[in-house]
Formats: sequence, C-alpha cells, structure tokens
Amino acid sequence: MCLSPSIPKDDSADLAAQQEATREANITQGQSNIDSAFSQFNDPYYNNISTNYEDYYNPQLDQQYQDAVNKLTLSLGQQGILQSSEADRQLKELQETDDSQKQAVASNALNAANSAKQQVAQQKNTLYQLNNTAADPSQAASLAATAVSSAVSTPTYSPLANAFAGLVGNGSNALALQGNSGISNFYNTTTAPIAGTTSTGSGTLVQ
Amino acid sequence: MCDPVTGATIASAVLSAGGNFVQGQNNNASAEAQMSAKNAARNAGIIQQQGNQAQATEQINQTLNKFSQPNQQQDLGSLIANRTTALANNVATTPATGLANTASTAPKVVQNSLSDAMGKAAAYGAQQGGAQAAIGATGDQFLNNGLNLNDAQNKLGTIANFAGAQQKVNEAAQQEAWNNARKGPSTFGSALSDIGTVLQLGAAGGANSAIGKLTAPAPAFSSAAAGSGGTTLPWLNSQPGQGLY
Repeated sequence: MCLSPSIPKDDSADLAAQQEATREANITQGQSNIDSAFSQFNDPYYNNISTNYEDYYNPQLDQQYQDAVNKLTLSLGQQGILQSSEADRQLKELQETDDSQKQAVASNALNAANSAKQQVAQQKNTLYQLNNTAADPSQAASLAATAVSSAVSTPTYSPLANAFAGLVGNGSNALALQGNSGISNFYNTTTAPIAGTTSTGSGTLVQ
Repeated sequence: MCDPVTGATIASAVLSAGGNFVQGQNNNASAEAQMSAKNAARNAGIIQQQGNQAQATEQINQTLNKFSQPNQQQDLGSLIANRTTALANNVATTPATGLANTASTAPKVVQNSLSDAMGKAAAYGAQQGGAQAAIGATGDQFLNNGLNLNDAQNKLGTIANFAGAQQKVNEAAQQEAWNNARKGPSTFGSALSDIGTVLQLGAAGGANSAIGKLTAPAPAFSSAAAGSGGTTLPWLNSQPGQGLY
C-alpha cells in the first residue's frame, strides 16, 4: 500500500484572469488619457474657430460693402438720380446682398467649426481603436498627444472675392453674385465638407 | 470451515472488491465534483457576460434615446435657433453706410421710399437667414448624430473587446476548475485493494506450497520434516498423501 501523490494545482486560468484584468485596466486608463488629452477640444475651442473665421471675412466684406455704397452713390449722383426711388431700390438690393453675404460668413464659420469637430472625432476614434489593440496607457497617452497636435489640419481660407462687383461694377441692379464671386465661391473651394451636409450645407448662398 | 488458503483467497477477493468499490465511489465523487466545479465556473462566466450584455444594452438604449423623435426635434429646434442667432448677429455687424446722410436732404417721399426699401431688405434678410439656418442646422444635426454614434461605437467596441477576452478566460477557468476538482484515488480503497492483493499473493504462495508437497516424495511429509518448520504447514500433515481437502 502506498499513499497517492498530491495532484498539482492548475492555476493557468487564474493567471489568464489576472492578465486580462490588467489589460482591461490598461485600456480603461488609456481611454482616460485620450479623453483627457482631447478635453481641450470643447465648445469654447470650436466657438473660437467660428469667431476667427468671421474675424477674417467680416472686415473684408465690410470694406467691400462700403466701397460698393460709395461707388453706387457716385454713380447715382453722376446720373442725377441719387434722391430717387431707383436709388432706393438699388441701395436696397445692395443691402440685401450684404446681409446675405454676412449670413453666409456666419454660416460658413459654423461649418468650419463643424469640420474641425469632425476631424477631431476621427482622430480620437482612431486612438481609441489603437488603444484597444495595444492596451498600453503610456503609448495611448503619447499617441494622443501627437494626435492632438495635428488633430485639426490648418484650414486655408482665401481672401474674399468682390461680393458686390455684379451690383455696382456695371451699374446694373442684377444680383450677379451667384457662382461668380463672394462667399458662395470661396466656401466651396476652401472649406472641407461636413459629413452629412455636403449637399445640404449652408455654405452656399440661397437667393 | 475452510482452509487458510481458501480463507485468504476469499478474504483477498472481498478486500479487492471492497477496494474497487470504494475506488469506484471515489471516482464517481471526483467526476461529480469536477462537473460541479466546471458548472460553477461556467455560471460565473455567464453572469459576467450578462453584465457585459447589460452594459451594451444600456449603451444602445442611451443612443437610441437620442434618436427618438422628440429628442431629435428638440435638438433640431435648438440648432436652428443657434444658427439663426449666429446669422442674425453677424448681419447686425454691418457698419453704417452713410446712406442716411445721403438721403437726409431728399424729399420726404424719397426718404419714406428708402425706409420702406430698407425694411423690405431687412425682412428679406431675416427670411433668408432663417431658411439658411434651418438648412445648416440639419447638417449640424447629422454631424451630432454621427458623433453620438461614433461615441457609442467606441464604447460598445470596448465592451465587446472585454467580453471576448473574458469569454476565453472563462473557458480556461472552466478547464482549471475541472482539473482542480479532480480527486485522487481513495487511500482507504487503495489500502483495501493492496491488502487484498497481498492476501491473494499469500494465498497463491500457500497453495503453491501445498501443491508442491502433494507432488513431492513421501518423506517430505515425515514428522522430521514437519518439525523442521519451513514452508510446510502443520495441518497439511494430518492426512499425508491424501492431498488437500
């Protein structure tokens, strides 16, 4: 008769569970690091983009408007109809054009912020996926810092074309802005489209 | 009354059978314990996955709630209001143009005409601004919905990531529980079997000796030989030459 040898304990699953717990903690920590790094992209940040956009184009538009008023006044005066209903009508159309352009500037300013918001979300999404794969919080933090620095590509905005050229240049009252100058044109060529708004975005003038 | 060899043989058989029975019982108990441990580990895994499922369901419900008609309408209304305000505020930044000075000396009818024209321009601008804001707000809403979906996708992806890994760990845990719940052979059962084996060997040895004496020359059963001890059993001398009975 002999005593049975003791059976060795299997702890492989315990080890695997510990490793998994560590991995999950790393992923959670990595996500926290990413969120922290991207917390700077908040409403004030995006509002600032819109403000910068307006600050760039509004003065140009104001200058053009003032020039257009001056030219129209001169033209009407030369024709001797400065104080006439025709002058009132042309001044009205000038004002409508200016209002429309100002609205376009404001709308495109919001679209510019939306475009930045989308880019940031894409960067963050990519980092989340990398973090899930790598499960390395220090790497996630490093990648997040790098991504944040390049999260929003530098937008290129062209100077405003003459929004009132069609109104004053030839002395006619035709609203010739559509598709040839002004906000409607530069927005379509310089601002990245917003997902879901490409065809319905408010960047184009509605006249 | 049976002879010692027979008794030993019977005893060894009983002990071996008893030992085997005890071992069998032990094996059954071991298998039962293994199955029970494996089931417990599996149930723990099920509970864990149910927790993951609950998290995922909550996340989906939260996301779906954002897409409910009342919430979408409320969001759109808010976005339209924001855009309308932004457009109107920017229109209001238009500087004075000098038109008033130009028209100040005009006849009253012309001044009224200009005032009327500017009023119409403002009304037209407001209408256009509102319409443009509504169009733009739709895009804002699409973007926000997309961002919300993206956020939900990230969270669900993490839950799925954890759930998948936990499932694999649980499979290993089930195997581990199975392995660790296995019981070794019963000491008592083994002892019984071992004793039975020893007795069996002893009985077989005794029987062989007896057979050997039966087939040996007569002098082997002399009293001298019987008195010398050895392997010759005393009771075998009671009826020499007649073999075992």
